Amino acid sequence: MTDVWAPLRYGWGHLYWLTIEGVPVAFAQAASGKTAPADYPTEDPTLVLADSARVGAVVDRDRGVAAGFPLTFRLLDSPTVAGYMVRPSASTYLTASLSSSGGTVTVESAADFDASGSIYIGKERIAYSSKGASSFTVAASGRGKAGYPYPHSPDSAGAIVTDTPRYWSGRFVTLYASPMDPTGYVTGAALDDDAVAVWRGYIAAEPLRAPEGDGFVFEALPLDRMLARPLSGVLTGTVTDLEPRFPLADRDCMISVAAFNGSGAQLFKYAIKFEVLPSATVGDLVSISEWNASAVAEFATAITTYSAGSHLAGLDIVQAVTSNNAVGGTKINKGDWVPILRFAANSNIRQLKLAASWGGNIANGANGLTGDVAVSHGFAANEGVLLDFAYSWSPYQITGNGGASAPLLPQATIRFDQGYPGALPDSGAVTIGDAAWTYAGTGQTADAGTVVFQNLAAQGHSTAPAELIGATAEVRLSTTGNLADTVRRILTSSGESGLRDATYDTLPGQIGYGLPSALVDLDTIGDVLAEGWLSGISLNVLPSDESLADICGPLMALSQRALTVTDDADGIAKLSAIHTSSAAGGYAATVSNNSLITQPQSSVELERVQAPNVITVELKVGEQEHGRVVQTDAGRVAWQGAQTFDATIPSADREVLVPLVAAWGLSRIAGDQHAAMMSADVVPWTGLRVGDAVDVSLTHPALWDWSAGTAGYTGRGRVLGREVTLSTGVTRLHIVIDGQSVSTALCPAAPVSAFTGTAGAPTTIDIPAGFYTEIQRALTAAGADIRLLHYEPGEGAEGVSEAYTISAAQVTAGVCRLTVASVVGSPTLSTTTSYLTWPETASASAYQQAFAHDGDGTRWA
Amino acid sequence: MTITYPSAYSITPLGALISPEMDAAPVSTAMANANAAYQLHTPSIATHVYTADPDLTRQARFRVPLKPSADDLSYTFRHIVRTGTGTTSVTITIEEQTSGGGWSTIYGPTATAVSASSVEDITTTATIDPLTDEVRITYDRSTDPTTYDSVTIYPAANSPSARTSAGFWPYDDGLLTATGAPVNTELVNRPVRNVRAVLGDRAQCVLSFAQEDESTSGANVRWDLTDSSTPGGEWQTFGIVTASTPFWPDGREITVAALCSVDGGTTSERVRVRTLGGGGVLLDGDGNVNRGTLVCKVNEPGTLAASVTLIVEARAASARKTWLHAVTGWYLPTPSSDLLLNTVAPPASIEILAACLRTVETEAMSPWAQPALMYEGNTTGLTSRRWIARVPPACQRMRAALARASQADIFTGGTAQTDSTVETTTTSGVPASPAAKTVTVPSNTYGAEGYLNIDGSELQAVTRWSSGSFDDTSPSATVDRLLQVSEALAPSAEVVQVGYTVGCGLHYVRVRPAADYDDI
Repeated sequence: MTDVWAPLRYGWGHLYWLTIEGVPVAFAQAASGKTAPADYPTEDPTLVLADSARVGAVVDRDRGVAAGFPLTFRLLDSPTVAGYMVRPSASTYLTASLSSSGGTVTVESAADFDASGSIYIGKERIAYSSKGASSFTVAASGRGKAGYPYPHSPDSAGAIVTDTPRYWSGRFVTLYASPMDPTGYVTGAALDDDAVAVWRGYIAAEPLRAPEGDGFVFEALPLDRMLARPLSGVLTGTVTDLEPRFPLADRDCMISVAAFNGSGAQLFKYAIKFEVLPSATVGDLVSISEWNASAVAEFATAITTYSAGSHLAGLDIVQAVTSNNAVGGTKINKGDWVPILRFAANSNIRQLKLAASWGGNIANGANGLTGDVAVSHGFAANEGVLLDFAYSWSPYQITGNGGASAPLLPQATIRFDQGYPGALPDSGAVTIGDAAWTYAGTGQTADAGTVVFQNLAAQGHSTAPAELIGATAEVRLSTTGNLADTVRRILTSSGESGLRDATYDTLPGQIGYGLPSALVDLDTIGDVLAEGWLSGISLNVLPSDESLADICGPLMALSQRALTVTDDADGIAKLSAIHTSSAAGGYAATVSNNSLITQPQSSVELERVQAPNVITVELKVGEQEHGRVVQTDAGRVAWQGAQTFDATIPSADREVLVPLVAAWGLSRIAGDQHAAMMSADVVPWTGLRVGDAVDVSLTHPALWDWSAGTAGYTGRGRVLGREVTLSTGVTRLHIVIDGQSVSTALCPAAPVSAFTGTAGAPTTIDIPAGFYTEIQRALTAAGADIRLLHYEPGEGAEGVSEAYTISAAQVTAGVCRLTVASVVGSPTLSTTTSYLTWPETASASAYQQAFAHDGDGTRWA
Repeated sequence: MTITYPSAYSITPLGALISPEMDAAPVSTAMANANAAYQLHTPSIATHVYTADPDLTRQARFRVPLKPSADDLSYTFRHIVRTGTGTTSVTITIEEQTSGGGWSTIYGPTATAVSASSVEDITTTATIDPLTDEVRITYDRSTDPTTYDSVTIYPAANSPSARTSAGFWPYDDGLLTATGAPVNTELVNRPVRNVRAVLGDRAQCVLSFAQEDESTSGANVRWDLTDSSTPGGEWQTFGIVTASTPFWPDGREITVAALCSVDGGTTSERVRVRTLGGGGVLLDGDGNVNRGTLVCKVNEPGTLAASVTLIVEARAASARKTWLHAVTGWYLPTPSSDLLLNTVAPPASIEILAACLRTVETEAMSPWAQPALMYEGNTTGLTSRRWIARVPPACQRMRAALARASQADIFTGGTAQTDSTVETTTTSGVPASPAAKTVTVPSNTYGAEGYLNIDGSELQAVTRWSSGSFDDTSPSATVDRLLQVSEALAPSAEVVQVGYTVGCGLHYVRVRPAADYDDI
């Protein structure tokens, strides 16, 4: 990891440079003389950041999301800039869908375009190596150049293909800082060698010509502002039919027929193979009507192909009206489908041998006919015989006496107004006409424009399924799961499963932001938002002109968490999740008097943290209310008036949520009335990120220490905002600090995964790498060996008599390896049962004591 | 330095969560509750009301498919036996078998002294191997006819001292009671981990049927199936019963195990178990325990009143016999394996503390499924059936879903059918005392509804429900009313006796909500 801020204290500076999605240019403040990045091979020294206010974000604890500050930048006039600020000279439109990995771009006409080069569709730049009359052949690795690939649909009004970008709004922007020594030398061989992405966002509006007349002004918003974009999860269409459908498994069929005269001489013999529903894909849902109609049609075609028209007239498939036996003795049940082979007129036929396979011979029982069929007087034209099999709902259940049954719950096939919507959730809600239904299972039919909704269940009405044909259908797209998974799915889903993230990009694009996983810290979001009770709450999100901030923000605010852009462990700015309570044990850095910027003036300020005294939480899925929980501090309401906090949680999980909301309500209502949000301008090199715990040690008179009863503040806090002045690096931190009561963090407890030495006298011990930070901080703070308590949960004899003193920690081979200085007591280390934790207060270092210990005077907050 | 298994759960009041001081107590309470769950989460893994001839003068054997715990648990077997005039003892033998590999005796043969002409509740205990897929219970009597009514099998009070195979890590208070003990993430995670390990290891019986004689001879099988009962190859209904499945979502999967044999011919797909309006599972009749997964159509899903109506059918090939010996359906929960805390040092928040405490309380005390019992109850001597029901904590009122039987022929005679009756220990005892305290469920309208008839019925069997609303705790006359059960912070064993039914399942009507547990 490169720390681009620490060198500032030694007179270093930054060269800022910036990239715009789909534009292969690194716009820099000055010519670096370095090799430009591979995806941005042109360096254009036209970037001006002087117009920008401070950038960064401050978390709004009551909204659950951060409010990031915009980045304003200017690109000065240059040939490169001018090359992008022109009307496209060539334009066409897509005539076929293009997946994110598609290698051929099919368009109306490619005539106006160069023989090779780049095209732009939406935000994507695609490099092509050649073109045809109406297509481009994508070059190797030609998708998503200088950005990300997207799926494109010809149904979209925006599926226009041009030779220059059509618009700028919405394109991702990344601002990099490359370290520059006091002489102005940028380190590294290439521009991006030591660069760190210090800001990420997207262009909010089309650029304007600068008033100075020397370039273009762009306004970009940070990624967290994207969370306020409404999502529309409503699809509309029409019910086309209600036929039960089954997944197509195999299309192959064959009918063999041999005819003999009265002397036993063979008159003709055919083994006619044909493929039913040849244009369908295995797995498509097809109805019995579609199957039968196609079988009859394809057999008719095959008669011509096999030149059998002089002997065979065709195939009929009829439904048995009574139970009966076929010619070979096979039982046919009422309702079974029965194929009948029709013959051309032939008075000589006296005997037939018939055999058949149906649907790829996927049958439970014997599939072919055996035995001879006697024919008394030949055939008149179009006269026929039963093939000796019948099938019921599915042709793959060819049985002697029935077979599979039709599904018990109705299905509806819906044609969507906007074309095939892509994969839909396996279950959800659909409104048909005015009636609400739930469905379980969806599938594509042989007609690519329609989707089958299976297992429809009426919701509070008795509308007969037969009344649904032709009705307007409205599908509310939804996603269910816990908060962490819901947020991760909405953030990454692009409409093409797995495009942005293999695990979470699963939703239709209408209800996802399609953010690339490189811009989102998915692991941290999982850790923070799936913690505690949140992991067990099932949300059911049906966005309808609501944003992620609208839908999930209240729940995050209530649980004292938030989404924000912050640096990941490598200092890269990403959208992530943080805790927003002041409760902390360890800390990332200390903010002391030496950290403060005092010129031109000290800027330490304090702001109240409002503790609501009435919290109302409504449980609501779509328009359906599932309950309301109200927590009130009656005493405070009486004396202070109502200070309300209202939240809506998209869940019907009332049983789980009622006690949970009560706990959250207590936490907020009974929270520290004297907790405060402190802001201070500090030097750029504190290393603090939004969400970090911080050790505050300030004597500034604007602060008050409720523990000591003196001016200043000494204790823990949490960084909830950071604003950076790009030109100087001066950083304004927003830190929530405790008042009268002190809160803390739970002690770490690490499972032992390996050790060297013996179980009784280990020399090193491996624990998960995630524990390194706290262990190292404890070692650094102590300046000496620290003790770690050993115990074996669930193995009996738990206590505080066994421990190790640790002299060092390092991350190696993906684990945190501890060096054992000495052994306390007689622990026997186990890689399956041993845990290490902070010791009891009496044996703990000052740093370790700051975490939760029995009777330490802190409170659960 | 002590591992304690409390005999009841302890509920932390809401007020204790207002800015509580950092000490060991809240976490240790959650830990103790999780320990308690190991002994208190005891749904029945098998409750079978036997289908056998009454007043037997021979040894009787029943085979019961089941899913035991992974922890080599000791189980309580509660046998209900109706003794004859001279019976002085009942000898019980219990064996277990895995995949048809041979029987191992786990209890007895042991004779238990009983009173003559009484209904005896005999308790035995045996440890069932985790791999066992069926137990065989053999009853013998001293003299005179005896009727074997039922068996209920549920976990006994086990007290492990080390981690178990199911993933339970018992709480030893040595660390948390130390002065200045660290309150760490593992200690907060463990109670929830433990209670979920217990829940995910204890099967909940949902469906049962067992009739005498496991052998292929079928000599003592009371309900056999031939092609004279129904045309060869056609399904014949053995029973339609409704199980209580509180808070189940629609589509929940259960395991169904059947033991079935034939006198020859195909053994393939002889048994079908399905849910009304939902899917089905086909099982072979090869004399072994065969299992399948059944996707349930749940009525009123997601509610306390959620239920599943189960239909058991079998078929015989032409000129062949099929003997359905036993069916057990069970639900084995799959609780989340997610830990409460995944970060290294999360804030010590009230939310986390409450999550730890309340998750343990609510999951440990959540009501479990009550089995739908299917049995013969339509013959003199079998019209009154008794069994032991496991009632979870915090349960206040229940009702019964009765599959009706009648001794009267509904097509002839013109007499009204006999009302069904329900008696429970908490209501007034079994038998109810005075008799007026018996809960009486009016019979079906004459001629309008039918009941299960293995020999074929033109009418659809129906479920009759006892009252789901009338709450009369001091009845002075025979009425149809709610069943009052014993509410506590621990489960109870309720004796239940019903009359004139061929199937029954207890259902929850009122269970105290989690938010009010501290009022118990």
